[in-house]
Amino acid sequence: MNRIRTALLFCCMMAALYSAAQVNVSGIVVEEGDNEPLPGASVILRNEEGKIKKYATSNSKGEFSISSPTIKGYTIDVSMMSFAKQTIKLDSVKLPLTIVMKAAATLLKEVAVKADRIREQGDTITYNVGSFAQVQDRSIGDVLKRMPGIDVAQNGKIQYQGEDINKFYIEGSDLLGGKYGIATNGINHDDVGAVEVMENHQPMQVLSGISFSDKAAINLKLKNKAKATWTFHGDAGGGYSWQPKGGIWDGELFAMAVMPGFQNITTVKSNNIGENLATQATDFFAAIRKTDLSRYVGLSLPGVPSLKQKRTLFNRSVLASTNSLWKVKGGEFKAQIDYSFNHIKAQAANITTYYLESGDRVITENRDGRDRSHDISAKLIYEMNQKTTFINNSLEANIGWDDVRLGVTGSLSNEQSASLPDYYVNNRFKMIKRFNGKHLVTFQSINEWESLPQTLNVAINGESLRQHISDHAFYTHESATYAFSIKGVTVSLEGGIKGYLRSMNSDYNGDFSDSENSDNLFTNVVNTNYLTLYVTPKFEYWIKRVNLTLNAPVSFANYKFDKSIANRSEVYFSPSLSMNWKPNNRLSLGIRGSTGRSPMSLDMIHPGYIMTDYRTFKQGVDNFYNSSSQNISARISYKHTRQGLFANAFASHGWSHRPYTMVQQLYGDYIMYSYADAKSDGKMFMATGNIGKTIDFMRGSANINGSYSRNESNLISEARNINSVSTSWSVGGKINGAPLRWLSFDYSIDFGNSRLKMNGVKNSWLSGMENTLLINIIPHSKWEWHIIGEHYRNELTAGTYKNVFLIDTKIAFKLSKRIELSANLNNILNQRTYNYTTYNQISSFESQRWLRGRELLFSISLRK
Amino acid sequence: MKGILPIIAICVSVAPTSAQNKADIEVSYSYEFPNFKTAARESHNQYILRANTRESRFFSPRTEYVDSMQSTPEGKAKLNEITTNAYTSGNFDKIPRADGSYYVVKSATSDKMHCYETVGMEKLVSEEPMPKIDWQIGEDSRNILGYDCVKATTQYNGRVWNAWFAPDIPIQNGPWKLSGLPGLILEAESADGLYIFTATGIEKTGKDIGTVYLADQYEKMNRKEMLKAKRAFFDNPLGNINAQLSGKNMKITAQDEHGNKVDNGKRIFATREEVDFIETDY
Repeated sequence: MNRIRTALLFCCMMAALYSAAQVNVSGIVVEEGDNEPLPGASVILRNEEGKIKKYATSNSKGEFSISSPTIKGYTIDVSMMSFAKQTIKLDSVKLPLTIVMKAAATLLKEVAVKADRIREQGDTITYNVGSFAQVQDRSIGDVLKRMPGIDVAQNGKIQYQGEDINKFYIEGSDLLGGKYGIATNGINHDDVGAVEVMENHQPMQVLSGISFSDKAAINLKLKNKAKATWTFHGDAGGGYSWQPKGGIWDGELFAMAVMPGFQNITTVKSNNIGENLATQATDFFAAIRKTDLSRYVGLSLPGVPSLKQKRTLFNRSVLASTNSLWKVKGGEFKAQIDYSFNHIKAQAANITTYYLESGDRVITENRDGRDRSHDISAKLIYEMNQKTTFINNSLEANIGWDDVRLGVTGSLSNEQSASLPDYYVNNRFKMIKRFNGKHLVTFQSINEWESLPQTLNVAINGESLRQHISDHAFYTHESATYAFSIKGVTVSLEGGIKGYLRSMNSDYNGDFSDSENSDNLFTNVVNTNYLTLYVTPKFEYWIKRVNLTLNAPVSFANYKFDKSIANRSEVYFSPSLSMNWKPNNRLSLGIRGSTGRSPMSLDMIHPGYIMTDYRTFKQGVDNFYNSSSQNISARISYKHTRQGLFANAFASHGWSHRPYTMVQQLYGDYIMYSYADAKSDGKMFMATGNIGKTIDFMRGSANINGSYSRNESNLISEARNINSVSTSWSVGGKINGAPLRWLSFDYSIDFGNSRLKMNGVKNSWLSGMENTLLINIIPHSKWEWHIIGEHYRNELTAGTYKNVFLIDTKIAFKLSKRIELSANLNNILNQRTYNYTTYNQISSFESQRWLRGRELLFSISLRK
Repeated sequence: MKGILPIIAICVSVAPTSAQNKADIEVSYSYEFPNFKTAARESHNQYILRANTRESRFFSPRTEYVDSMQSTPEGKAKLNEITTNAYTSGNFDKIPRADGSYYVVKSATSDKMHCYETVGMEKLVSEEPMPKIDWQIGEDSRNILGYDCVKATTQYNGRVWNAWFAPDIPIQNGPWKLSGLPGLILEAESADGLYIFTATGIEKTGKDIGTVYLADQYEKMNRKEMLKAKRAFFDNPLGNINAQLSGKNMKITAQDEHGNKVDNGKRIFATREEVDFIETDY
């Protein structure tokens, strides 16, 4: 306070000195509360008209001084960032002044500072979200699709340069794990400032510098307004549909909290307008279930390939998901709970032709089905991810009920219904410890249990048939690994034990079971157990730009089949070698090769027949088989971020050799599958390529992609060996942009061609083309008008095409920053049917399917 | 416990400085400047001003990108390659950090202003006290980016500048070396129209003001000497470069747009009379 007093005194003296000619407006600027002087405050002296006459800045002691010939009618403004502006009339105050500034947010009219659209720093590429977003975009997934190098599937799955990402972070935290589709489909792009792609991302810090990762991760950097608070948005829509006739709805509620110690995303969605929500909660990182159970009963509703799902799905769907993350001392604790419900109805008229030597066999079907499924899953995860310690334990439970009903009229009228629940629990524990910087010790324990009962009821020709299967398995895997690293070379040795217990029982009561030996023929009591001991030496060479990895797992397995087939002991060796080379930051090359021997799938062991649908019966192998396979693949990717250019190409060739071959035999209208002791070699080749580029002048991007695949396989049908080769290729392109202030567009075209060759006889090429154009017109800042046109051109038989045009429109009105009203009119032309033909191994399949008809939907969107 | 005390001490001593280095606002400016080869008014690039009440840094995001890369050995190698290629091909527009890309760091706390600039192949920095620019506030007002701005005029380092500042943004700062008005300068134009800074965006921010990458690699020089060095380079760029490269057994020549070799005696840049730098008092 003394200092202030001295200063005031000094100011008074100065004022006195100049008072003869000038008025000295002086004072001190202090902060409210503690009276600390504020340096750097802006002081403006204005005359009675408000014109600036003089100005000053408070010095390091908070003092200012302005001299003026007169101050009659004058005011001074004192302002500073983060403080409320003070305006003082000088006529009625005593000089010197003490100006007390109150803390307050300085309101700025912000105009976005436009950063470069894509930036690169080290292994991280940053995309500016605002510069890729178009008016029609809602979620961050919509914008990610426009970023060159990034690809987003319908269910939210993300690929970068043609490869799946390995982590999805929000502000650096992995809240959702593999279920990040909830975020890509849910987070409003307006809350995201930037998307970072981290190339060669190693999610486990203990492995950094020791183990190479060729995968990329994505991190969403939120805008400040979306941080340290809850953000909400919701949509509610209702309307009417012409096919199926009736009311429609579409609603969503999304809440997100991103705070320093806590994150949460909770969403509830429901619709009956053709969006299957269950896929949005798919765990893209889920490990393959080692319980290895798969359904024998295959009762699926007719689907419509090559047409967008929103055109063909007659659904009622609900998804609720809540995901929380707490940062606890040294780690993170996560809890994820999901529930989904899906009710789907489907109808189809099918003509299936089997090409047989004895002449074609034609089966006509009209199918009418519905599938009702519930799925609940809960996951608890604890993870500690530090430089010397990594611990992760995750406990997961998953329960699903799937009831399918399918009625068939035609040459074999029947009614099928299946009850297909699934109960699954697993716990995974992993601990990695790093010693002296170079030594790693890993312990892992995985335990899984699953039960997959299946019941199929068929009402046919006045008879009632029932196939029941009970199938459960327990799998345990314990392992320990030691690794050390010197000068870029990492050598590791993993050893472990795997145990597997499975029992499967099936029984069938039907007309076949009346015959003799029916007990043996249609009943199965099978145990398939094994115990495996294995070691995996791994050699990793990693110097600067080259990574070389050699994996050489050797295992000894003892199989016990409880008399179904003979017990076996086997040794397996499946080495793989991969190399990655990054000659510079732009170019990356990788090659990989593997060879190995593996046992057949154990669910093929069932001596008795199992009915898988009303006219298909399968019988398992009567011997134990091993198959061998080889694969080579190469990948190249190039990027030039300053120019916004991303390109990648991938090619893979695989060979498989099986000592058994599937046999197909027709008995009347029934199909029997079994296996024969005959060699079956398969070949597979595929290649894909993709180029993406930003188009800056219209804030857009473009993309060209192509793919080719060729598959060769063998089957014995009607005692004759059938070698089939299916070939397909496709090309596609996308372009989007906003060439004018009031206009933006999205256009995509895809063209595909496929052919099937059997025993050297070539079918004709069949093509499919899809064009989609979306135009947005913004006549006024509050109004948006979207027009969407889709055109499909499908080749039914050689030279015969089926064209379908679909047009949608939407008008949206922004009532305020938080409220938007919209009206959608979909399928204006009210197209109701769609025809197509597809081929599988030795049959053709022609069908008529139903489309969602015209629908009108009114929606309101709210956001906080 | 012994270990904890020094950590606390460090935290305490670090906290106030780092708090000071947080910017309040981020402003982007488009900068128009003459082409030094043709003297035409056709070049422009983007600058960012990150500032709080006391401190600021004015930089080109492009330059910063290049410099951040240069701070790693691999990035540096790549950059040298581009620069050399650009010189070799005589394609001077492609030189990263061509003329106009500088950093200006102002600090009212230490009363110092540093201007970092690359002249030819040399990195130079000048240090001077915060300029006390004598602005004459005029009567005119204009709206820029939604802010009512007042006109002010001054003569600074050889040129007359007309600036428009926003009294509603209490940051006494502006583009380049300009500052000292009671509000943020959103536009500044040299009287001859050769140099123009125009604000294109303004945002509140919590970002660090940041420092200049590789700041210790810049050679200290007095402001006017720096301008003279720059002029010397512009008058004889190849001579300057070749003099520096002579020890490395390299020689650089230039080509014109038809690919013909340009005589080393021929001018590449326009003369001082045709077009001069943003500061002319050297």
